[in-house]
Amino acid sequence: MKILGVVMLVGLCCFLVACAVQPNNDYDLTADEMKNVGNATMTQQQSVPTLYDHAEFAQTKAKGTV
Amino acid sequence: MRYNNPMLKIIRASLILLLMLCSQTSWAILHLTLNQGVDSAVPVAVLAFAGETADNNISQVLSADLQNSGRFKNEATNNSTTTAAMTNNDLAHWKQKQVNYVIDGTVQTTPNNQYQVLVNVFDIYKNTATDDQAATPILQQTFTIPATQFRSLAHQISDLVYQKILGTRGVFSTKIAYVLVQNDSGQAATYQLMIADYDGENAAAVLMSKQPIMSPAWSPNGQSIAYVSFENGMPAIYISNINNGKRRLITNFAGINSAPSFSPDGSKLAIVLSRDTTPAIYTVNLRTGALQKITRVNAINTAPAWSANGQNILFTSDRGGTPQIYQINIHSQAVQRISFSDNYNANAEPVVGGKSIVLLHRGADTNNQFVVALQNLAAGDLSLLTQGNAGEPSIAPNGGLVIYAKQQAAGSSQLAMVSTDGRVQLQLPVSNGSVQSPAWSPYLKPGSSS
Repeated sequence: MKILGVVMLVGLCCFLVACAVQPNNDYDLTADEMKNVGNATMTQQQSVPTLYDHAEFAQTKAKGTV
Repeated sequence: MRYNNPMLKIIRASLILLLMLCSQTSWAILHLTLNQGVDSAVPVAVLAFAGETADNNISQVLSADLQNSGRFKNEATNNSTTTAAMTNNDLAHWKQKQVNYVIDGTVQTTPNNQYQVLVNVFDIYKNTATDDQAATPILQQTFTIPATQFRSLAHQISDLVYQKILGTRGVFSTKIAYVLVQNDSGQAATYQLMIADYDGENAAAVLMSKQPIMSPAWSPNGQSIAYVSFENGMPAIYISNINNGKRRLITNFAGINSAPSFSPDGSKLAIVLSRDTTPAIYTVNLRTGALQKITRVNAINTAPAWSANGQNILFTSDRGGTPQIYQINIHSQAVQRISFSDNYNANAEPVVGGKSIVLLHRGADTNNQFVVALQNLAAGDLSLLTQGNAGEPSIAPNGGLVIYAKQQAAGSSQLAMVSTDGRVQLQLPVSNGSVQSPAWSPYLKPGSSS
């Protein structure tokens, strides 16, 4: 029983540490970045970026290429 | 709901672990212009209502509604006015003009400063009149309204006429929501969430911001609108009651919060979050706030739209390499790919009846321009509905028309409509601004969503 308790405590600690050091979500897009989605992703013919374009822009940024 | 603070993260993680252990398991006037019509449009004569004035010109709005639908052409001349009765001579006159239906009416003031409006619809070819008896209307209805409701009553009458003659419900009393971006030179852009009548009249801003507003979506009862706002610098999903102005924060997780879509019963919102990995479709229970992750493939998943029965969600994903339309069952999470043609299909919405979807399409067949298209779900074939570059489409509740933002030569976008058979093209020019993300309301109860 004591062993089980120790294992659970260690597991809990490891889990908490992992959560605490987890980086912020890479897909964060600020308002200013949103305003530039069109410039970064749209084709010349396109008038308004689609929801897919927004997500693609966020993904590209998350991968560090924007 | 944002957890940037490390202590909050620890508390969140502890709660999750404990749960796992315990469970063991403004005004902007738009004007419709009909670019193309239907050759087989029904010839009607909308007569000036007796007693109407420039301030309460019901027949003018009625005529415009019917003509803008593309299903009717008005053969009445400006001096065609309602007479006391539809006589044999009148019937003969309209038969000679090859008019199928005549719509007339009267407007009278009442002692308590209201107005009584009478409307008649006559079927010219299925009617007879004698020297002693006037023709009988196939539709006759009387309304009593205050002076402020002439325009909405005119739309209501248009709906009645449309349904009586064509047998399907009109959308003249519905509304559209859209984002209007104004970018005056030297000034920061302003974003306004607008609501207008279906024809662009009575446009008013329900939200104004210096930061982007995106993706308005109507609740099934037409009382609320969900949308994405960046007003605090990062995306958050809100629901605003458009009658009392009250609004509620739904999500503001780290990362993407986008693309809200109400379930048909209004109890859930399908949204896109990137809180775990790549952008994924979630549902949020609007009563409890409970989140359910729907898509689990590590790819972009966005633009959810519910099926009419609330069991499936259409969405856009690049899991196959290019953005295409997929459908997922929210219970079994079984996924079916819907679109296959060319390299870009996105933002699908089901058409009432469930036999087809409208979507935004780009491919070799469009010279790589974005166009609104209709896909037959059984046959899989795609019909291109528009020319020129289009933005994301939204379909009217009767499935007859699609509204979208159409790119102009100057680069801005304006509202446009196209019928789902592609034969009716309507332009709704916007003064001073660029339109994004139009969304067509559901059918509304008379007097709601003012």
